[in-house]
Amino acid sequence: MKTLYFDNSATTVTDQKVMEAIAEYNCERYFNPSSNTSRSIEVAQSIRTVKDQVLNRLGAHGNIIFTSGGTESDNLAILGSIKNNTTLNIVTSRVEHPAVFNTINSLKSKGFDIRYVDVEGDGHIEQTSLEKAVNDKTQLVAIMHVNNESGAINDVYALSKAVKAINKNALFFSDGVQAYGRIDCRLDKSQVDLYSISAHKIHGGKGCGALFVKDGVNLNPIIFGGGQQANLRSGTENVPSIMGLGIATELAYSDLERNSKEFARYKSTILSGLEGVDCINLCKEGCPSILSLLFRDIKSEILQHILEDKYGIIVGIGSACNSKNKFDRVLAEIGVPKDYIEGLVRISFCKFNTAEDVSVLTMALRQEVCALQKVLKGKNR
Amino acid sequence: MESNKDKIIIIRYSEIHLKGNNRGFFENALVTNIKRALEGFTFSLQKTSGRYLLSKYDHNREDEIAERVRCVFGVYSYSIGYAVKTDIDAIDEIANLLMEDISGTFRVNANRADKKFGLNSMQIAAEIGGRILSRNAKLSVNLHNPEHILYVDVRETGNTLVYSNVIRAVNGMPVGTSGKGVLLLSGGIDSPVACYLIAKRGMSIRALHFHSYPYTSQNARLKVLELAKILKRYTINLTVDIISVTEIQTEIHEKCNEDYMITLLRRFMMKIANIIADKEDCKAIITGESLGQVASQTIESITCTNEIAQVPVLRPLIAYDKDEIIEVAKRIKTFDTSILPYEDCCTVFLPKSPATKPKLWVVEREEQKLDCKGLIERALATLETVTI
Repeated sequence: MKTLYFDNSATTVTDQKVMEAIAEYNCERYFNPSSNTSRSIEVAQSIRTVKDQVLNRLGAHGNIIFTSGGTESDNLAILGSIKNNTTLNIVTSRVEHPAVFNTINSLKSKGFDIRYVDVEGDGHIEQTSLEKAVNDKTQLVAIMHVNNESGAINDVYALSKAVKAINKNALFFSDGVQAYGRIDCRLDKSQVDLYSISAHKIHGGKGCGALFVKDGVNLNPIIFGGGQQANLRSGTENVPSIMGLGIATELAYSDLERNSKEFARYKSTILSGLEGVDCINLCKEGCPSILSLLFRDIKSEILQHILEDKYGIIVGIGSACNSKNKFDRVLAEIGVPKDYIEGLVRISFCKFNTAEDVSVLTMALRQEVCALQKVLKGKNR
Repeated sequence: MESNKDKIIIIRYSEIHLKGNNRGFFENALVTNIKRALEGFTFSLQKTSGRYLLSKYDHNREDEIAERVRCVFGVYSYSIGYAVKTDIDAIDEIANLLMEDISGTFRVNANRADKKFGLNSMQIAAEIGGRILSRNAKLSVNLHNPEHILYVDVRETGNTLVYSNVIRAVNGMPVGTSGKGVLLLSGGIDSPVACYLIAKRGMSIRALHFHSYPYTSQNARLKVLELAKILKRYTINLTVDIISVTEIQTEIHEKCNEDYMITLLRRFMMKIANIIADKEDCKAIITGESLGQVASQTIESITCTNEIAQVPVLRPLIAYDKDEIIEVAKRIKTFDTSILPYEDCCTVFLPKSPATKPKLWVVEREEQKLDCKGLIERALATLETVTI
């Protein structure tokens, strides 16, 4: 059975061109970039090129630190930037990715004052709530660019400016893992200080991410060793994957506009195909590649299994079913009604999806959701 | 020097001692089980009076081997020590090895089976004890309540066993000496503990797991197989039959009184367990039920499910409190896997108010609404057998 993959916010298939670069830098240009041989210096130069590519896409001045992925980038941004002064506060939201939410939560036990801002019904951060939370004691604000569950896009330009207007010393960090390569992520007009990205979300292969650090921002390392990457991230650089990130970046941005239009058509096909089905479109104006639907009376895990087994369709679901805790943290914070809270299906597109695949998905969703709603009616209450 | 001393593991049993004419049957089962538990290792296992000596094993993997021996039902205790030529200086060399780095009080327990050896038990203990004392000033003798005991066992074979520790094992009876039973293995905390306790009394186990895919996750299935792997340390052999009850559940959900969902489902499970028991020559059905723990484990619920069973239903946890069950689950290392958050089939379609005192006549009336024979046949058609 052919796999119809619609969970591209979880991960993506690695692009063939990326695979070729990974192979080249594993098998031919495998030299350690920290050595002094000509070959190594060439490899170091290649890394430099990828840095420039990423900086260019972000349209910002600063440094790029390559990491093992989004989670490490988020940890480095938070743990590497905060001052060990518990009279200062950290402002964030309860809808952040676990890599941010749990890292900041871990600071609570050390006495840090953590302030959470409110979110709107689709997962957006409320700017007024943010402005209330930030004060002259704020050292770090962590607000994601695109919400990984709802697809809501936060206006990090406006939010970062609002924060700096209150406290110019507060650092603004944004987790850009779901945004990078999927929407315009130029930071030049923003006041964003730190921005994390990941390669495997954009067909770049797993095990590689990066953190943008704006000029003038002081960062401390969280990994120690040989002092690579200006002592900010020790460990020999994952050169093949860094090269993959460079290629994935170029491919993502060269196709961005066309893909976004295509994805909008896909969304429209699915939504019109589901007309009459009891469901909520969680975020109507969100990231083009993400369509998050909440189906009434459904446990999305069951639907996920049926779609995979009967049709080869892979979709994402909320984390509700993977936890003893019946309620997904993000959906609970957003205020999703009880009858819908276990029914989140996240459909996320990529350039390899086709209109035919989307038609199959729509038909399958309609059929299986209706059948399941009949069986499970009232079971979530 | 290495050639004069061999590391050994002395394995002891207890309850088998009480057996009469059929003692050989139990001893053979124990030897077979120890050998199976140590499959993949090289070793030599020798039976001596009332114990077994394990030797010629890879010393680098001694901890792993000892742990496997500890988990074999029928093994009461074991000691790790040395076998040396029966010679007072050779014995003393080992005594020095075992006692040189310790402090506190000690005594020497000597036993002489080889009456030809020049010193009797008392003299051996005095001689070795004296030599230990002369070398280690941090030790003193206490014959009644010592912190350390050095055991010297002069055997008739010309060898002497020297060791300083006796480690309690799981005890019980060798698996396979009390027939075979079908265990209803859910993936929760209780049924693995029930498995352990019944296997401890010598019963071979065939596990039966019911799932409700796609209403439950494939991870629930993997979790059960992971539990089975852990349990195999104790059960020696373990086969898991996996059967889907999805259709049964959806049919009950659609056609029957919702409050009777669990009672009806459990009766189906019992009917299927009867069939497996008959096919696999199992003499009992084993469940992890604990009286009153949940709605399906009240005496009225148990009456409704028990009525179906065609072989005795063994419920080793019937009088256990949850914390007592958890204590065993932690000890046998199933707890961490059991609490992984994958729902089992009983939690799908859970009624809002399950019947805590189901009536048999109601149960039978509800079953009339279902094609029980067809449902069971189709459930059995989904049978997948996994040998762990």
